Amino acid sequence: MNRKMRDNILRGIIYLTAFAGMFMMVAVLWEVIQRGWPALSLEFLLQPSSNFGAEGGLLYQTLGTIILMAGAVLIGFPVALGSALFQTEYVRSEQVKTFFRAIIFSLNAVPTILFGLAGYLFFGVYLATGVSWLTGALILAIMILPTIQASIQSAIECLPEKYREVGMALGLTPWALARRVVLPQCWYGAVTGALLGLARAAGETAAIMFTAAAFSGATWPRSFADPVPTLQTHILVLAQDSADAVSQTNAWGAALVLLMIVFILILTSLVVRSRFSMEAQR
Amino acid sequence: MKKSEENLEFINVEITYNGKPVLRDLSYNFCKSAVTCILGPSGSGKTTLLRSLSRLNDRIRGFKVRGEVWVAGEEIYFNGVDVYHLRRKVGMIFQSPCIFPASVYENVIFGFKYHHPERKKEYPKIAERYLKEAYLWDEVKDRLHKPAQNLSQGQQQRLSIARTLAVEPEVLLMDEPTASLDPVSSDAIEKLIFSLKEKRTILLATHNIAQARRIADDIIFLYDGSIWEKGKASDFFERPVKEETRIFLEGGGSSPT
Repeated sequence: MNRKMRDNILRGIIYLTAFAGMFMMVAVLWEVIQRGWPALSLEFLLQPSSNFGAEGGLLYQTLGTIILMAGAVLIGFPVALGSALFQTEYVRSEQVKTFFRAIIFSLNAVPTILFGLAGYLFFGVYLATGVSWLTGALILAIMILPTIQASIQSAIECLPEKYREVGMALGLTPWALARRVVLPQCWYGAVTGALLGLARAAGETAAIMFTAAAFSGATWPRSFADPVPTLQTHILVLAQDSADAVSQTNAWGAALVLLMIVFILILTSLVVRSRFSMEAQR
Repeated sequence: MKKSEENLEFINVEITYNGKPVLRDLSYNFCKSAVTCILGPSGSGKTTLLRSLSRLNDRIRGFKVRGEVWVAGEEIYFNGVDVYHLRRKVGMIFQSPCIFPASVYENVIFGFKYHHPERKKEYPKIAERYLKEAYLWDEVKDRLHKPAQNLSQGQQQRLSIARTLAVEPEVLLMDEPTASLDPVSSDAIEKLIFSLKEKRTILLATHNIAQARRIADDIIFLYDGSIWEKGKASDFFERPVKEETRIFLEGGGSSPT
């Protein structure tokens, strides 16, 4: 086989894999849009559901998902930021850094149902807080921690060492270096990390099923101990009710709303990343 | 042992990196309010010598300093020394200018602002004063709030110097500050060094012999990690004692082999 032929075959395989990925993505999107679109209307978005979700809209489910996402990021972001700064600015030993990185990435590989179970056992059973949105937000926060942290850390590690040296030579302490030199040039990484974390939390079902979500009847959380309805679990319930055509359509509609939320977040994060990383590298 | 407030001295210093010596048998007492040029081929330890005076290698694992390094009456590798305070007294200018992605104004007052958050009202005055001292004021006074990255390399280096001066160091370490600049900017920086030495002790690492001839009061010739020759600049250039020094001077700064 000559070199040119081998080159062409390899190129073909690479194109094929790329298109396979694209095709899956487009097929899923197409299916969701096609089936969910008929359900979409202003009332669908703005009305509470009734009859166990088979009728009515998605107002509280959407709100519930947003509350959980926002809570998760509010809790997870500071921890991720601190952990990233700890690893990049304070720890000098390569072994300790590698160890920390391994732990964080393992956290990323844990199946989400385990987070759900562990959360349920710890909060729901051991602390007896019952099913609550705060518990869900906490569990999601732990889950999205690696995503946010990796994004912040990679931005910080891209910062040339010379900026730190200048800061150090001017007498800045490590904390001042982090706050005045490192973060102002790396915050785009923090923003993208937070948005990707949000997107990941939005799609999560298994972790909140037993810990935070009410399957029907719940509206606003009135205390920290209240559960919330969510889009994810709503889809699960409606999909199980496969005999009813209206529930089916509503399930697809809910899926479409959820997808749109995730898409908006990811698009925003891409824009932020490209715009501000360019600015920082100028 | 207590030293005078203005003392800047190495006493039997050895610096090793992962066990390998970078500098050894280093003993030297620097003259106050003068320019001491540290001459030597690349790899002779010039940068390490400068950085050791403000403990800039602390972050790098494997660096060890033995012996005594005295700055302003303090043995700086003694436990309990406030290294952040030390670095305010010993400013460092790096080989290539490093400007923060912010305005000219924010860059000048960067260090001052951190050390004196309570003197907010003085910031504009401080900015003007040190930009003038670095001979940059006239060129930037109309664009103080524009991004500093738009300045030329030479202007950026003078801005770095202004930023360091604003922290009011007594000692100024300069590590080949003109190596990445065009001749016109180099000239400007040399003039600046000349005017700065009145009030500050300046250590300038360079392998540019012509530059050392122009601005040095004293010379240390570093070769392979130790001082081969030292003395007044005039003596050094007229009557080099060692063979290696002569070869270095004749070779225009390249390494004697």
